[in-house]
Amino acid sequence: MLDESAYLQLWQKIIKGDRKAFEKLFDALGKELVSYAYKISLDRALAKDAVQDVFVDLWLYRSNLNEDVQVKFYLYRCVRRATTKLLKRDNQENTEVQWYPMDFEADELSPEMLLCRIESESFQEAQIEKSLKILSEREREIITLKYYSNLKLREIANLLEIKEQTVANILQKALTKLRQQLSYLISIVLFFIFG
Amino acid sequence: MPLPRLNFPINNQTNVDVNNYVSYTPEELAQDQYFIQWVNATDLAAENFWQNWLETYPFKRKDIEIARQIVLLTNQMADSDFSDDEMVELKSAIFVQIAQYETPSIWGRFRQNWAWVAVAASLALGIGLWWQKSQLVSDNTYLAQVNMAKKKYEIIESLNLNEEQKVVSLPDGSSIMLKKGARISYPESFEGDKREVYLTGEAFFEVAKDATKPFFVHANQVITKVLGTSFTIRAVADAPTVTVNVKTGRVAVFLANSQEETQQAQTKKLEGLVLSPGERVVVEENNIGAVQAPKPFSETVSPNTSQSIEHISFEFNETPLKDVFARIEQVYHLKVEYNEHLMGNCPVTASLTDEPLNQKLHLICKAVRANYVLSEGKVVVSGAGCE
Repeated sequence: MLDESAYLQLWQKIIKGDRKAFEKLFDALGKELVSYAYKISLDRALAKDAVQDVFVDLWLYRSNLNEDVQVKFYLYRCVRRATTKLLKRDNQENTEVQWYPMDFEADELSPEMLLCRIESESFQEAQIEKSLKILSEREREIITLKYYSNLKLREIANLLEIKEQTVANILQKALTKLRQQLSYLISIVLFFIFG
Repeated sequence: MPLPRLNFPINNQTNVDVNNYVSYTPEELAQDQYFIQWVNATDLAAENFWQNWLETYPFKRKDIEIARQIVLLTNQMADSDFSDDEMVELKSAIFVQIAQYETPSIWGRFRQNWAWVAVAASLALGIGLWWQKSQLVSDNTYLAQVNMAKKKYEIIESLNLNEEQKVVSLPDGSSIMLKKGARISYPESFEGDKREVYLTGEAFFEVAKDATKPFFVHANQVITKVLGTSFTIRAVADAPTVTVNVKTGRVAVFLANSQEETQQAQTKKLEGLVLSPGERVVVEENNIGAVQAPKPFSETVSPNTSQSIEHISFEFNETPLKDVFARIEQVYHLKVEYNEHLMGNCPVTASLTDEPLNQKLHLICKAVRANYVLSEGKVVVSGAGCE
């Protein structure tokens, strides 16, 4: 893991035309940027395209770049723009908040069976997928930025160009949705473990 | 409702106000840096703190568990699992695209000169030609072609980043050996009345015979049409030159976006400029050069030509199987796994030339009554021997 000052060094070398530095920056941040784009779009191919566009432009227009930026933050913003641009192009309407009812016939299962299911990998995968779906695009994005990219609320607010309070509210709402989805399961598990 | 935001100095437990957490909802806990740290990392201080806390406030156990699950879930949600291979591929795609933009603009200069002359002669004609040329340039890059192809087919792409050679088997049984740095895109299945693939870099083709479905290789501005044969194409992304080199059989070569392309697409015969075995042609920009006999080894494209498939024969006369497989290994850069003790001395007599790898293996294995499985980078042969 490189820190911001290391990113900035690479950045300044890139501006001077250092291809190795460009490669290093991609190696360091590429994966988290693709993951971020994926969280906005839920489309792997599109996420890769967006990051590709950003890095290609970064290199081709390097002489126009500002020498003193918050590199990671700047790239997140570029990827975000590129992703939404591609999303618009593809005409995907993904912004509606959708509520998926709990669909694991809980009433028909005994606590033991339910516990088994909760611990199975496929169940967890389904759970993650369902969780992704109950969140809106914006909520997914903020969750990713906070828990995966470890950005501070202030940084998230800057990136999304909204107020910090708004970020806090959206995060709160997203977590509530997740809690609602989880709490029923957890009561059963806890009941089972602790009586 | 404003959220309580408490900034605990992390890793300094004494400053954490234990009582504050009592009023926290699970959502609030899940946002707390100290709590997240506890869930994600095995931090002993945090572990002690939270265990103590739970003993003090046992009625909060459920909230803690919910908050913990939320944090775990958000972590899993954000981890979308892009593999290192995917990242390497993405990086190479970025460099390929950059190379295409950065190509020293021979075309650009050509176009400018052309436009000057044209303006002097006839403005209308000039613009018309310029437009046509610029269309030509932009449509003929590998990526542009593949993007177009994606509208017609489900496209699969193979690329060889750092091996000397890599064998790719196509859905029709044809095999392609990608030299280092080459990329090929092809449809998931060849439907319709032609087989179309897209190449950048250098590759050797062994095309399965199917006269009803001609095989078209798009490489920059050049299209090569084949019915079934073996040949090499070299089309480097940032060079205006494409070379086609025939080993066996015959191929037709013509320019993309030309009138001939439409005609060639309609006929199942080879017409126009047709190359025969040993011949090669160099296409520079939009000029197809004269057909040449192959140059001596030292001047051909691959440095170690004597080792490469273009010059190796597959004539076997009572040859021990182990030598035959050694030849296959050498040429295709594959590992052949078989019981040498049992089968190594079985004699093989075969005259193989431009059959695709799959077919060669089929014929060889048939001769010694064995079976084979071809998978990524290796061939596994099983048989009882021939005593």
